[in-house]
Amino acid sequence: MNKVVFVRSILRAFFKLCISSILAVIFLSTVIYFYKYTLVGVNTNKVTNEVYYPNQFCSNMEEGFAWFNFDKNGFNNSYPVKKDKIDALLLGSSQLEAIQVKPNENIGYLLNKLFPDYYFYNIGVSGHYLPTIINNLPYAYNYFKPEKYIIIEIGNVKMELAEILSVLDGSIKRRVLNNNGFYYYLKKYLPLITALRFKLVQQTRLWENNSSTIFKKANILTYSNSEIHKNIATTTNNNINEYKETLNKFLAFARKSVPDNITIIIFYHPYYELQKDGSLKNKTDEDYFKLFENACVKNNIIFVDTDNDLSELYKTKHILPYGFINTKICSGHLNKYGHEVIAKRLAKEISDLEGRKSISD
Amino acid sequence: MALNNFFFIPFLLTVFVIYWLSTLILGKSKYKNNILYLELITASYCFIGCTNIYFALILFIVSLITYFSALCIEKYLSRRDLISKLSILILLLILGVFKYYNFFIDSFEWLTGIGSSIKIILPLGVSFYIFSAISYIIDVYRKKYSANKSIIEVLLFMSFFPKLLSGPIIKADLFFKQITNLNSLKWSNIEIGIQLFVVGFFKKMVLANRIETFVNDIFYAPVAFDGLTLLWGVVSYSLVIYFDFSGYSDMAIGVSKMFGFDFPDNFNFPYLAQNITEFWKRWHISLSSWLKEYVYFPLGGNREGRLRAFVNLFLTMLLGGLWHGAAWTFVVWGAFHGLALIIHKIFVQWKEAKFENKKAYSSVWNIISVVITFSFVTFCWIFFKATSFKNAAEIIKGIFTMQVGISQPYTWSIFSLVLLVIASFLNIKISQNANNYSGVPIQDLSTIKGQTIFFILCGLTIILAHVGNTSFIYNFF
Repeated sequence: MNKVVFVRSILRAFFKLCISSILAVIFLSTVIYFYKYTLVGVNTNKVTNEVYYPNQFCSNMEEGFAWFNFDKNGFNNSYPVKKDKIDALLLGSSQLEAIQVKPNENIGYLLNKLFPDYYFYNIGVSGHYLPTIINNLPYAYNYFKPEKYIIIEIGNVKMELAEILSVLDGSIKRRVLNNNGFYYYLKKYLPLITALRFKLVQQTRLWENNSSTIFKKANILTYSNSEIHKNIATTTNNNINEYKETLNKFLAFARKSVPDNITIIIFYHPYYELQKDGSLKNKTDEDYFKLFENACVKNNIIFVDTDNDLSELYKTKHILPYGFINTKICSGHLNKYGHEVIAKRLAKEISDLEGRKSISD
Repeated sequence: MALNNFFFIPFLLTVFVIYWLSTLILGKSKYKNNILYLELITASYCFIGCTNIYFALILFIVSLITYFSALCIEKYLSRRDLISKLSILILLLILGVFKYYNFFIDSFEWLTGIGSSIKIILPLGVSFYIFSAISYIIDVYRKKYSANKSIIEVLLFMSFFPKLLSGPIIKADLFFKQITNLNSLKWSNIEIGIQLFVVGFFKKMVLANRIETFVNDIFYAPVAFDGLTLLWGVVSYSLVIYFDFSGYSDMAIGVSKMFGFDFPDNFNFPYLAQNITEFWKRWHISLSSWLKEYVYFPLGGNREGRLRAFVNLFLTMLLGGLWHGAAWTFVVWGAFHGLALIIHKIFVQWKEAKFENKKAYSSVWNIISVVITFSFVTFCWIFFKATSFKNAAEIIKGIFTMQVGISQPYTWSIFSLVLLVIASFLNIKISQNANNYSGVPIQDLSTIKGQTIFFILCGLTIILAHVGNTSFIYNFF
């Protein structure tokens, strides 16, 4: 009899545990759906390594505040389709992907607004830095066939030599995501799983990188979320001549990937560091910047440095181009002001190229 | 290892499972208590030793000094004065060397230009366990209770890992009374302890860590921000330090509770205080009680006249400030609080003399009092957080001149403030109906409702937690 009572109490406790777990998971998944919900899958057409699911809802309150739907191709383009053909294709990283700002505040949308006769299409995807972009460029061009421009976003002019070489010799690896079938549905309907996994990855990375300093007093500039994303090359490229030569070949490869009548514009937005005296320090490595700029000129690629525009924003209006009201200042992704300044600068460049009256003002 | 460290949860689980199995295996063995104590001592020394083995060594030496001093005070009655003074002096010397050596060397260098390249690392928790040791020695000297003959119990009192790094500063008699009850684990204790731990974890990892990002920006380059943002930054720091330290205390009390210890609350909604005296009855209660009993009273308290009482109060707060950190900014912070306490005492005396018939205050006046007290405390935190007087002056100047600069209405601070206000109102409401309410609504984990709320809180803590190198502020004091 006692055994029966015991088994019953165990079963009852287990039943309660199951019900409460299910209720908690439902509640937490609902919270995550509005707090941070991004569902990335493999891009089978190789335009980008990964892509969001078509028309997928996206929410982001972790960095900035934004809620919107991706377009039918899984990219962040909310501007109404103007015409069948694309005039300019925008490629870049999470900075261009812009899931931190409202859909009508990103560079792609603003350019569409500034040029009513042109259709700009944004395929910026998180983690796509220059080597990945150039590697995918032939596929991207052939798929979208832009008529006038390829516009590439970069936040770093210094790359790993090995990474550039891997693009040239075709050995660069594509990330493989296991996002199909059951796992996809699990992530779609139980975003709690993705959120917990993300936190675990973040925590593990932090532990791996910095376990010895966990007890040191938090230093304002020692760590920020952005460090994970920026992909800043840390190794010194010993042979600068070799680097220069490889960079030239790399950009020549980019140039050859698209027809000559298509203008390639690479725009650079440097990262900054707020100084104690209130000034902004540009974190660009000047030597590599020069190398990159020269390589662009040599390969008939227009290089646009947005430093003056971004730093002017701070000097005149005390507005920083990076960071949000819920994150560390001057860190992470471009905010709406950063997007706006860059969009205006690009509009000016395009207007100047085409001899139009500047429309950015 | 801190309580919010990546490895703390597996560490705690391991210790807990071993402890639980031991209670089952040992049954009614006469060695049971000592074995359980030894397990906790081993865990505690692993806890501190994994950061730096020398920290564990220092703790052990301090524990031995404490143990033998207390025994000698009791044994050699004619020399108890000398022994107690000498042992306290040795303990203060240890604290002084580790905590204030760099401070005095830097001050000396600033005055004379002669410096030293030797820097000493502050052993974790040294201020807390030395204060515990001093209170034990003084209590034995005062014959409040007798010296504990068991070295194992004293070692455990000194090293018990949940309270080791940042308190609460527990009195020896309370601790020794409670360790005799550590025979078996009770579900009711685990139920309360685990919830306190998770609430503390939420306060630290979600609220304090998130806001600290903003506060660090503000204090790093105050000249870059506009006046309102600086003000918001300073208010945010009030929230950071509260959530950080009360979060730690909740975690420490929670973990202790799981093992069967019943430690008193260290915080009681301090920002609801209507005056500075009340604030110190609600903020870091174990430290303010310690300072009152072992500094203010020995100095004479209020027994030797009004003026002397004020001087004693001021000196106590000055020492309290210096205890927090080896920097002149902490001394100024302590001095401000000392002065405020004196002014409040004068005000109370004046008010009592003037208005003999005490009138109940209106709720509007109560709210104004809370706001004034909070504003003063917040102002003082500027000196607590600032790296130098220049840094503090830049912030104060920026606020009062309403300087122009970056505007950052940081939303995590708004969220935390709203949460604190709601929790405060709930606290007022619940504490009117329930005695011994600790500020954390404990759920009955045997019900579906209780479990669901608990799981949601755990989930929210993980999802919203800020991942970064932010350790507990009080771990460095």
